[in-house]
Amino acid sequence: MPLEARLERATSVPRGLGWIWLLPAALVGWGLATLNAVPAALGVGLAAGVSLSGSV
Amino acid sequence: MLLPPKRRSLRDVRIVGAYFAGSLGGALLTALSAWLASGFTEPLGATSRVVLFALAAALIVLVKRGPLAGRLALPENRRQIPAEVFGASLIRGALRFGFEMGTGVRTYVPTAAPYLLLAGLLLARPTLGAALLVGLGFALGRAVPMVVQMASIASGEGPSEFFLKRTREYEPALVIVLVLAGAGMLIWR
Repeated sequence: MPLEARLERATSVPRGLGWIWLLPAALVGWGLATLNAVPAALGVGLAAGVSLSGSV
Repeated sequence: MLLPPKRRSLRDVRIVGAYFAGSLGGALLTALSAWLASGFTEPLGATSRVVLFALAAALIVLVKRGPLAGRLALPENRRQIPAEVFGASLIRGALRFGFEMGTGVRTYVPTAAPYLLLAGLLLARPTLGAALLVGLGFALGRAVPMVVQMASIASGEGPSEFFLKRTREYEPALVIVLVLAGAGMLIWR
């Protein structure tokens, strides 16, 4: 398996933690619905961080 | 020799705490740097920012996941953080490891989301508070899954199938949509 594919697989969120995506989704949704930068900023940071959560 | 369960548990908490503190420090440093650099986009109007963000996002997604993958490369540090960071002490090692992970620039970046986030931060000219919130969110996102897995290993369960199976099917599209929508809103408002 190429390095990129292995990295992508290794850094994806474990299935048991799939629920964690609900948090950034809720925060970004809240930010969009109310045009409030606070939840949107927290939500986008959280989403990007979770996407790298398994990187080594 | 294994430490008694109570002392082991206390040490695990300190390691996890050190990892999160390091991760937070690294993420805040990167967010602060991006916030400072966003001052260079001050002269641009809202429409120009949105157009630039759309173009940058398209390029990032094409390079990371589209037909330009393998032809163009986005900047990344193509190495793993060395195990030597844990050489002196587990707690100090966790702090340093977390810091390097938190910066987002010290190891591979296999997803498009951090690049989209950086482009969004540069073009949004957020308030300092909003930029630091992005850093806080990034640190939490980087740390929480690892903390949960460490906790399961520390409790003696080990990484079960529950943790080893991946969510790869929907994750890339979901995170791209989330970061595009959130960063787009920060730029437009």
